[in-house]
Amino acid sequence: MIRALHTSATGMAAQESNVNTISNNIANVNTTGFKKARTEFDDLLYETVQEAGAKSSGNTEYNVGHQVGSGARVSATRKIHSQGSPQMTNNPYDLMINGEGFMGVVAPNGELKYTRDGSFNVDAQGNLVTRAGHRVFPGIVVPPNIMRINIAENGTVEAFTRDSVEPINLGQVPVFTFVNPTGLRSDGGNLLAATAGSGQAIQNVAGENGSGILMQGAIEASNVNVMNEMTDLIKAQRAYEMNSKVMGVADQMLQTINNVR
Amino acid sequence: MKNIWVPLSGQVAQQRKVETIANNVANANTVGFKKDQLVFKEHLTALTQGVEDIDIPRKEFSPADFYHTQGVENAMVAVDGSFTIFEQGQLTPTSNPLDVGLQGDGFLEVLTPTGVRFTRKGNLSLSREGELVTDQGFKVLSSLNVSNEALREPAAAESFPKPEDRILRVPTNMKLTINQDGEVLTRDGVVGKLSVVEFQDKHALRKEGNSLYITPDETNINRTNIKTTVNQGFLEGSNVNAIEEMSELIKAHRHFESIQKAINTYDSISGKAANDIGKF
Repeated sequence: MIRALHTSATGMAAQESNVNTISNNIANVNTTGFKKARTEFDDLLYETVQEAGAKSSGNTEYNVGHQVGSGARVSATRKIHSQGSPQMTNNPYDLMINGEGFMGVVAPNGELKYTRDGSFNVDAQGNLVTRAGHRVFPGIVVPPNIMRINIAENGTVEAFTRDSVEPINLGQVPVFTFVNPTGLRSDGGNLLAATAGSGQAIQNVAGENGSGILMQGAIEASNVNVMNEMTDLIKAQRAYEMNSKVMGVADQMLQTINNVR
Repeated sequence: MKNIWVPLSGQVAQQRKVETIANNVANANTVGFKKDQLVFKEHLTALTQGVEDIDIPRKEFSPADFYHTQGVENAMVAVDGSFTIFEQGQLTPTSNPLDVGLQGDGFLEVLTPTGVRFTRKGNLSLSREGELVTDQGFKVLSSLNVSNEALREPAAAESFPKPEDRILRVPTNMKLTINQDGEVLTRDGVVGKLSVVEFQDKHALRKEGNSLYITPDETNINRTNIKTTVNQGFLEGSNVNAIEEMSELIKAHRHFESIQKAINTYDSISGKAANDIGKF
């Protein structure tokens, strides 16, 4: 009976973690470039009371075994990298990736991080930076007194000045892809970091090698679908309740035993 | 007083049942989980001894002979086995191209460090080497489309690839499509095929935890004529039915309580024997 208590406790802990993930998804429903996470579960080990195929007598064997499981655990929280819908902003520095891939951001310590949040702007020195002031890789410097800036689908940044007819090429924004984007680590602030699981970042010209194209003047909305999250929330809550019911029954059965004498 | 073991065995069995329900309920949201069900049996204590050892009257029955069975006349309850119910779970869309939901009796074949295992959990991803793996990094195998008869041929066994040689590698920078036969395609064509196998006798599978199953008997695997369909972008939910589990739980609980009443009755009878009859 103690085992049933433990088993339902593992289930409750797993569902609690599920609700944590769902609430983080919902909290980020309006976060630019946010990718929802999904909690995944595994069953725990089994106690084999009786092995299937063991001898039941001289010449017969048990056709089915008897196994008692010991609950569930969270095996992963997987990021779902599906496309979020575009939001037109008409800000010329805003960038959105349509397709796979990430834009590179140089963190203050020089480390390269990755993001889908392309709400960029220029700082006092003319650097193209994120809202937090981190520079966009590979470092685009916008000269002062330009009329217009144009970022092409392949990431080429061109500026038109008053002085010349020809645009000035300011550089190219690359799109990084990963063999396994699910393995990226969320670092907060809309930034992701490469891990051993994701593999090394592969730098592409936007639109090539399966990477996405860039869209100027738009940002990507989060891919959280509130209806799905609410359904998952209900499922998690009901699963939690059921586990607690089992725990209650196990407790009452223990109580019954204790009241024998 | 030895009869008190009879209701007690019933209580132990109900306890096992609650433990099984607890595991089912704990895994109510586990992808690809299949619920377990317990089967009880009547266990004649007579059968714990050989037939020759029991002094069962072989002549015509008379009441006096009844007692010659020497305490092996009780019928206890024992757990006969746990059946895994392999009912189809509900397929839900996930918008993740590397999720595959199986519909039918099949299992995905994966390679773990301890050997080949089978799973219904289809939330796959790509490793950095471009191998299709489960979330624990177990490698998904590609299909070996030969019948068991062919595999059993001693000469042929050598020529077929080992599980290590069947790890499914796919190009990493292209969109993957997985069709209903489990074939993995890019725009250049088929690059591999998921190994989906079925079993002659599913109940011979053993749960190993971590959503993995192991088969003790290789010949049980059926690799050809697979009727299972692979659905990309879907995951199979667990087949735990809340109403069923809750009503089973109530039943087990009430049985447990009524058995407790029987034990109490035994107790009060022996109390009478010790105290009241002793007064005379």
